[in-house]
Amino acid sequence: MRIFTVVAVVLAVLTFGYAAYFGVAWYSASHSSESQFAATRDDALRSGQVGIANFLTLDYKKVDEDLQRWLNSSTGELRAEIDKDKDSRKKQLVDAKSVTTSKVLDSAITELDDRAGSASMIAVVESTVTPADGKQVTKINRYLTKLTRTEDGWKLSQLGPLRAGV
Amino acid sequence: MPPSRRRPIPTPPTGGRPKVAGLHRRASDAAAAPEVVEEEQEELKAPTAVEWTPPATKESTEEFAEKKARFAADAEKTESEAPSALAGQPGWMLPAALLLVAVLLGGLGTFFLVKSRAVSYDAALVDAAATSAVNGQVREAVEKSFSYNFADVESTEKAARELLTGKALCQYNAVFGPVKEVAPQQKLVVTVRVVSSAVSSLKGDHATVLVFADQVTTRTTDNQSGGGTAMLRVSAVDTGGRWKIDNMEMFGATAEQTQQLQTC
Repeated sequence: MRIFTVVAVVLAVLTFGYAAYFGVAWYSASHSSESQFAATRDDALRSGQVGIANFLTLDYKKVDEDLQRWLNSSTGELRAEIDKDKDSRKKQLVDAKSVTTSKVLDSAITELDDRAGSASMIAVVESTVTPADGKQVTKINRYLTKLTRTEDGWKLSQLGPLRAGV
Repeated sequence: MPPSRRRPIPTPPTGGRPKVAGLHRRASDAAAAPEVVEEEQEELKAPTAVEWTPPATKESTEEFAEKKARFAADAEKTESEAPSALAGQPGWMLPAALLLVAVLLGGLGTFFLVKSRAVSYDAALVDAAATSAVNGQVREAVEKSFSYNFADVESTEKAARELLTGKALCQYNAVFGPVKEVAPQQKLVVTVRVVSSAVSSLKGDHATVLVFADQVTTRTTDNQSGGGTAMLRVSAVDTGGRWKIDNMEMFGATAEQTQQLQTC
């Protein structure tokens, strides 16, 4: 009987070592700096996609709501710009009397500085513009945006179309 | 268990009777000795606990009486448990329990092993060197194979053959075929420049790159030029150190272009 006890003890010790080793391996693999950097990149990308879709979607019937959403998804330079000429922008949008909806078809991060909390992203965006009294038009455009990390996650700090000949 | 046997030894001196303590030790040791031989080591606890209590009674001070009562109660408990433990839990209980633990730990370890192997992340930007290699080579491939000079057809075709592979070659021919037909007559010069590009996915020897390109077409017969923009999602595959394009998807392609690409 004693021999069984000894064998069982040895087995238990060995399996404990086995479990402990791979437990640590799993932990370190999923907490490596590489996978954290990848997670940061995905986070920035997701925020950028949502931010761009937010910025390129507007409805002249609810301009206030749209402007507020723009402010919420932007920071720094871009936010200051919107905030500065909020009223003239609002008038412009109301006068245009059009509804624009956009979705990001594809996007990718071009640069990411985890420490500085800044990133650049390019995106292909499909926008559908529906004028109040006209035929709707669908266009595909390309955009370049800069993202900055804030306390509330990544936000857009610059946004502009990439026109031909840039 | 040695500690439990030794504990009462210092207590008698506080009672002020060193002689009795000496006696008591000898008595208990002598009594315990035969028991040890018979029983297994684990069972040593029970007999010693029983053995030392009666002598303690002899020298009982007021404090000691209380202690004695407590110890006696403990001893009774262990006494009543010990035999039933022996009878009800045979010797295989311990190895069986340990084996069960071993099996559970083995399962847990295997779970961790599978999990640690399954940890994977997209290496785009994470692996800076590979990312910039993919990016640079895809840019070069797009620029070289889509730029065209009627005076030097050979270099474009050579670039396409070298930098594209598989399905992308067919797609290239579908898109570029019509251009090639009119090129010599119109003396076309097509310049493609990648404005911006980024690796959106990099896994092993497969990568996806988003490419924004500008195209300038000049008809040298009458110096008319036109331009356009293109957005491509390009798949690239690593062929022994060189990333080659193996698939292209065009965003905002005209119906005609889409039709041409569908033949591939």
